[in-house]
Amino acid sequence: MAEIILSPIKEMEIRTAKVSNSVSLAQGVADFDTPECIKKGAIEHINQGDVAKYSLSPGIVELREAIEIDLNKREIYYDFENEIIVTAGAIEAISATLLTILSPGDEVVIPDPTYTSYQEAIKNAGGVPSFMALSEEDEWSFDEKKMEKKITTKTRAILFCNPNNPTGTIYRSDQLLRILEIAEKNNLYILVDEVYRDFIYDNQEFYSIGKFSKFRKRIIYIFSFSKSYSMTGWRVGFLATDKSLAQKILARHDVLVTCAPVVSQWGALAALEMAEEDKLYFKNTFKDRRDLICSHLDNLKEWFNYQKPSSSYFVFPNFSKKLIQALNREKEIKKYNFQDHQKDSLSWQLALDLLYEAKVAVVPGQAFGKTGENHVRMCFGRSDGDILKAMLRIESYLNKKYKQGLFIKSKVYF
Amino acid sequence: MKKIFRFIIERYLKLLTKIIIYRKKPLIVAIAGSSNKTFIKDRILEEMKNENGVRGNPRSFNTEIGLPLAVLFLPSGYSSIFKWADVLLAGSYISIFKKDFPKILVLEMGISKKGDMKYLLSIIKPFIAIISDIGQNFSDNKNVIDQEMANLVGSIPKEGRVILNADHSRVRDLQKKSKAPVILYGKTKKAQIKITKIKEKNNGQSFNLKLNNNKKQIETELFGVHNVYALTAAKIAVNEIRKIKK
Repeated sequence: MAEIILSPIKEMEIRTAKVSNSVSLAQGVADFDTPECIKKGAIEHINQGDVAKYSLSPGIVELREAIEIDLNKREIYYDFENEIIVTAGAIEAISATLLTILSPGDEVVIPDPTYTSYQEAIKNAGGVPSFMALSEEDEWSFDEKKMEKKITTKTRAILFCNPNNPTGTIYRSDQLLRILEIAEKNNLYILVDEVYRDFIYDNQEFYSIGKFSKFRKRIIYIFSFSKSYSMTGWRVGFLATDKSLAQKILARHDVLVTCAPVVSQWGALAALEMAEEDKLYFKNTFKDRRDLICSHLDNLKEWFNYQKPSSSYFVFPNFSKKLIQALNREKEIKKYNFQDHQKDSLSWQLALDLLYEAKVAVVPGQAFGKTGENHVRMCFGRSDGDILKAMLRIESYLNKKYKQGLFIKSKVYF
Repeated sequence: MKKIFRFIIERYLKLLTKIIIYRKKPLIVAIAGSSNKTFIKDRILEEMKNENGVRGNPRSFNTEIGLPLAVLFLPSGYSSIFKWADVLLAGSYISIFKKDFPKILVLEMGISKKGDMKYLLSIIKPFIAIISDIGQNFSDNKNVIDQEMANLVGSIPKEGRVILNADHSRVRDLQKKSKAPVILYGKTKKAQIKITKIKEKNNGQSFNLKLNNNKKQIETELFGVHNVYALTAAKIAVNEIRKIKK
C-alpha cells in the first residue's frame, strides 16, 4: 500500500495553531455558524429520540427523498431508494466509490491543480493518481488531447471537482461532454465533486455533469452540505449514481461508517427544506469577500498574478518572476524542517515564510499537484476582518522583505 | 415558556384554519405514508397545473403547525415572536375576510407519533385520501403508524375516495377501514389499476397504465419505482377529482 501523507491543508492548520496571533486563510472553512433553522431541526429530532440509533445504511428516507427532489430541480434524476447514498461528507463518498471500483495499481486521472485529498484517497484505495495539467493561461481549462494521453490500460476513472478547488474556475458544458465521451470510449467512471456548486458569481453559467443522463452509468455525482450550509463539522454529504454501481458502493459505505451521523442527516434535511435564504446570504457575502481579497491582490501585482475566481471561496495567485527570483535566492540559506515532498518547493517556502514571519496561513500550491507549484491558495470564506488583516500583513511583509531585490536574512526554523 | 408559546400558536392557527375551511369548503386531498408523499403531491399539481384554484403545501409544512400554515398559505415565523405576530395577523385576515381561496387543496400529512393524525384530522376533513407506503424507517412503530393511517382512511366520507398502493400489504389492508370506495393501484394482481411493463432507460422510464378502460404508455424522466407509483396515484387522484367535480 502506498504511503499516505497528511493533507498539506491540515498540516498548515496544525502549524498555524502553534503560531500565536496568526490569521488563517488556509483551510476551506467559512467563518459562519450553521444556520439556526438547521440547528433547530437537528435539536428537534434529538429531543424526539430520533438520533440514538443507526439509520438505514443509505440514510434516512426523508433526507434521501429531499435530495432527489432537490436534484430534480436541477434536472438531475436519481432514484432515492436505490441510487442515493448519504455519506459522511464528500470525502467518504469519494473513498467508498474508489474502494469499490479500483483494483490495486489501477490509475485515476485527476486534473491538476485539484483538491489535495483526492490523490491520497486514490492511494488509500490502492490506486495510483495520474495528474493531468490544466492550462492556466486558458483559464485553467482542460485539454482533451492531454487527457487522452493520460489514459492507459490501467486507467479506471477520472476524478475532479466542479467548480474547481483551488482555482475557483468552472468546467464548461462542452468540456464536460468531451470528458464523458472520453470516458465512454475508454470505459471509465467519472467522479465529480460539486461541493461548490452553490457559490457561482457574476451570473456565470454552471452546468452540472449530472444533467448528462445518457452517461448516468459512468457518473458518480458527489455533494457535501459542508460549504453550502456552513456545516463542515457535521460531516454529511451524498453520492448519486446508477443503481448497478450504487448498491456495490453501499456495501463499502456500510463497512466504512455503517451510516452517516444520524443527527447530521436530520440537520441536512432541515438545510434542504429551510436554509435557502441562508445559502443565498453566504453566496452574496463570499462574492463581496472575493472582491475584497482581489482588491488587495491588485496592490500586490509586483508579487502575484491571479485570475478572479468565478466560484468557490478560493483564489489561487501565482508568483511573479520577481518573487520567484527572491525566493530562489533565499532558498540557499533557509532551513525549514521540510519533508521530502516539500523540498525544492517555493510554494512551501513562501507559505511557511508567511506563516512564521507574517503570521498568515495560506496553502502552498504544490499541495494541489505539480501544476500548483509557484502558487498559494487563499480562502476568502473567512471574515472581512481576517481577510483584511491577512492581506495587509502579506503586503507589508513582502514589500519590506524583498524591496528592490534586497532581502533580509530569515531566521532558521526546525 | 417556549411550550406555552408554541401551544398558543398551534391552537390559534388551528382555529383560523377551521374558519377558512368552513367558509370556503375546498376539496381536500390528503396524502400520507412513510415516504413518497411529496412526489405524489407534486405530480398531482403538475397534472392540474392548467386548472385554477389548486394548491399544495410546501414539503416541510405537513405537521401540527405546518399544515395550518400550508392551508392559509403563510410562511413560518420560526423562532421569532415578531415574525409569528405578523403571521398570525395575516392569518386572521385571510381566515375571516379573504375572498379568493383554492377550490382544491393537496396536502401532505406528516405524522411521527400516536395521535398526530387525529390532531391533523381535527383541523381538516379530507375528501380523498392517498396512502403511498408504510414502513421504510427503522424508527417506525408498526402498530402506531398502521393505526394512524387507519384513522385517515376511516375519516373519508362514503362519497369520497381512498386510493391505496396495493403492492404494500400494510397499505392494502387499510381498505377494510374505509367507508368510501377504495381504488387499489400497483403491479400486483390485486390492484384495480394495474401498472405493467416498467422499462428503465438512460433518460428515464416508461410503464403501461390502464385507466378508464384506456391503456396508456406513460414516459417519465424520473427514475425508481416510487416515481411510477407517484405518477399512477396522481393520475388516479386527478381522474377522481374531475369525476367528483362534474
